[in-house]
Amino acid sequence: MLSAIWILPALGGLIVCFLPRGAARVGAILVALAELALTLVVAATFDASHHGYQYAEQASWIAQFNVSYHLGVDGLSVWLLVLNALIGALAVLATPAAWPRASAFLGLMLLMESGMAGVFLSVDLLLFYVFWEAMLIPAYFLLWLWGEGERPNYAALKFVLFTLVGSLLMLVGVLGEYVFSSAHTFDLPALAAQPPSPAIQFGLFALFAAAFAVKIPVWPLHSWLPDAYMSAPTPFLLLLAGVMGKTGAYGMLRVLLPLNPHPVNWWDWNWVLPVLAVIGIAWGALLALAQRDLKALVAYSSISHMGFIVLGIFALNAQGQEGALVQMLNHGIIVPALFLIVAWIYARTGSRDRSVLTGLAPAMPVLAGVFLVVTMAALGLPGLNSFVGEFMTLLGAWQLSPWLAVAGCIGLILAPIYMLRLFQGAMYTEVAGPPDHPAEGVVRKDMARGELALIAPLLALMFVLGLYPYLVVHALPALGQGMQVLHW
Amino acid sequence: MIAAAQVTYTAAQAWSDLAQIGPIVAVTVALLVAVVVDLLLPRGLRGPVVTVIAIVGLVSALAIAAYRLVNGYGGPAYFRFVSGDAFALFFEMLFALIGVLAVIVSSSYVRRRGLYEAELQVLTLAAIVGMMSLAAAGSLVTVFLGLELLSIALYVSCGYNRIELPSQESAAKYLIIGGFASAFVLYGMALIYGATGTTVLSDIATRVTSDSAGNPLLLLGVLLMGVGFAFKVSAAPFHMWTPDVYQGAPLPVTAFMSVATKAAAFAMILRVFNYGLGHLGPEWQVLLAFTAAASMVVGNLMAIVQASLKRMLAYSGVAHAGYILVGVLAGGRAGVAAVLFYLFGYVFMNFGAFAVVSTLSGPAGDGDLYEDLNGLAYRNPTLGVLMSVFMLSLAGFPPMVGFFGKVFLFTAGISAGWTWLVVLAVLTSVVSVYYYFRVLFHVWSPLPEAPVRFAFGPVRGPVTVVLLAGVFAVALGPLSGFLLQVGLNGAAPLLSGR
Repeated sequence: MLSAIWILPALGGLIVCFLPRGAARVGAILVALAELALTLVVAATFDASHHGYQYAEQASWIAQFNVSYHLGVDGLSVWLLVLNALIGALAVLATPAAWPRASAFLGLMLLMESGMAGVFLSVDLLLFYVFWEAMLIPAYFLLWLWGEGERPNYAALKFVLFTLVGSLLMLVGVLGEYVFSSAHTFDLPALAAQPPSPAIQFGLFALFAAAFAVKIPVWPLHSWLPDAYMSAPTPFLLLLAGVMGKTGAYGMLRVLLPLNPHPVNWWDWNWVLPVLAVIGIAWGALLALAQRDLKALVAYSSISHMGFIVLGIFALNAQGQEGALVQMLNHGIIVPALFLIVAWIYARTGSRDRSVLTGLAPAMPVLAGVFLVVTMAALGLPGLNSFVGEFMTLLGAWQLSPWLAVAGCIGLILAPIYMLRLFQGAMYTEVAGPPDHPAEGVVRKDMARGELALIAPLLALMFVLGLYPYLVVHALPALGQGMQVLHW
Repeated sequence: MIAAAQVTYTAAQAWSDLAQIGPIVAVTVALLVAVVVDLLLPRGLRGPVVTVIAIVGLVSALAIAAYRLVNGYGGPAYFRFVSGDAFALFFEMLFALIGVLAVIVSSSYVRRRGLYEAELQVLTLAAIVGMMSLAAAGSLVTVFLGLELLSIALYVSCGYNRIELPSQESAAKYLIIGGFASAFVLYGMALIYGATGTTVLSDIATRVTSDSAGNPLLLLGVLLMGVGFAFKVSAAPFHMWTPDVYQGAPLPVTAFMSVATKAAAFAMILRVFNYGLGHLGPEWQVLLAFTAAASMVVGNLMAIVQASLKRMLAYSGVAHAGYILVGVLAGGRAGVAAVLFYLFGYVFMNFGAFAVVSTLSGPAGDGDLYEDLNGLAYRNPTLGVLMSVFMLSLAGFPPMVGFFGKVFLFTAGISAGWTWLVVLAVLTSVVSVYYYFRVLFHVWSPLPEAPVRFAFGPVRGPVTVVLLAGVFAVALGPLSGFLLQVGLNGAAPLLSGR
């Protein structure tokens, strides 16, 4: 069952690469929808009262090093798998049939989805690493060969090199876990049960943290993100922004903390990551304020919101980490929706410049309505999803240190400023320019039904998770291995 | 020494000894037959027939080695001068495989470049006999014999395209520097013989204990041999010859040298250092650790600035020698097995990359610039995809074999306490991604407006080889458990002596 979740898009992707354009799109959509159905079945039949990995599959792989092909889901990964499949399906659907070299594009997207599914499924550290690196290859080609802007090659290479510095350091960490843990295995539960000595843990912690912090990204390792997001084509951006960043946060919860629960050496490391997270929250929000380009604005706001996730994780308490998981899902829902809206506005007006776009709402009321809901969700309005996650992470952070929570609130204060200013400016400001206003004369038609259908699931989820977060939180106690909070 | 005179050598013993070196015999017979056939046959038939003979000889060597590996294998033969152990069999299979690939690529290349075919195949066979003897060596004498046989054959191969100046330059450089390195090795061997009174490795292993570390003769011998070995594996700072020789030599020769010579030289290092002088570990490890670190840094940094693919791959080979040395330093069964595994994988990814480049050559010359790869993925999708696989494997991306090779090497390295070297290896391999991805950039960039320098001629042979190598490079990754077991078996003989 679980093997099918990563094999289906991998095989499907390889086949889609060689299909002609029209058939490739149909095939890719079918594969993506089947994948979504598969993950929904797993989520629906998931037993929230069961402790340990469910649907586990284990087979010996490289016996000499105790590497096993070990898959499983637990309360942490089950909803992230669904998110991956959902965003993957939306991304495939959002790819127009007329896309350049559509077959290869769709095939690579499915391969990347497969890699990320593998990351969420792996219960073996080496297998986790294999999937972690494997998802980078399609991402590189997607970003480079289909990238927008002046220098997609530069953005793609920067993205790969940044990520690789982190992940190759993690490779040393992975091997270090095997060598220094008395378990001498790559199996995650066994490694978590027998962590190495605290001083060794300190070194391993730093190696793993580097990889995950680049992927999320945590300030100050975020400089690849604006370049990558700016040049990423929209369908790929949904996967990149919606899911790939979450693999880093997931790695922190799945690998970093359980395997190195008490790293101490020279200083009290507990403060390092929360402080970086808070700086990231403020930094991203301030830079979002300064952007004129819509896409860049959303990209920087994404850095800010990812800060809350890291803050929640390293609050090292139950509220914080539950909040982090909820926020991972929220971010995976809101940011793709925002990028879709930005792309649609760009398609209609030919501009992403905030100072040029004004008074679009009368011409496209439905788009304005959708944009309003997404804006409200993004700035954390109670009743919509983001509020729940941010509230819980801040609650957790307050228990660690009230000052951190207060500092984190800067992000909450700045978010309405940049989001509302963006929304109001683009949608409702009077068109009061001269007749040769740049925005005049462009196609001003409202959302098509297809577009509405594309974003509808995301809108629905914003309300569902906002009003009923228990849906995902209740699964959390069913963990495959001890999360940090359980013995802190 | 004198004792040899008293030994009675029975016919049964002779047959058993011959069986121990079966693969070497097979290639030697093919070599001799090929030489005679080359003399007797009419001109038009010589090339193809010699190629077929070479392939038959190599495949039978492969079969003999595989058969002996499966059905139990012996130990020393010919008064412990040669060994038919699992270590030797592993390398004999490896060299036979490389030989088959090289012969196929050469055959197609020489036809396109209008060169004479038969002699190059004969030289390749001679080099392989040398390499196999090196891997099977049980004594310093055999080591040197194998080393010289492979070197002399390769000096000639490098200058094979004798009407072209770069090829002559390549041969001359390789001859002078190679001769220099051989002299170093020989001097080192002489000193070790002086210190221990024997050239047989198993005797050296028992006579050299950790107490011998103070013996200046031994230390000087280790130093000289270490320098010579570093020349042969093209490890920094003794790598200077590599780029020039690789660039000038005909492409199939470069491809063959880049993987086979490296593997043979590592077999020699493992035999002499890890086995014979195992107790002097702390002494030679200092030397090799410095060499490994320098190779990673120099190889990766210099590869960035190259415009020629041959030179880039030469420097990348220097860097890979650095990674492999981590496994040599780690030693033990895990370390040696990791080295064997990595060499096996490296053969396919590096040879595959060279074979792709060799398809770009025409009567006018070799297309070895990055620009010559432009749009390869659209001109010939198979080659484009496979070149990407080789680059990703060299860069160490899963699920390709290069990744698992690094995992095994680095695990052994960390276990043995070489963590700093592993961290350096990891950081420098980030640098390597830059130049490997530069190849991907050219392979996948849209077709250029201007006509490409080299259109495809009849290249069926190399494409087969590339395909084969590509399948290996991908498939050996997920199946790495099996290959690692073969490596572990191969590593065992080096440890039983101690």
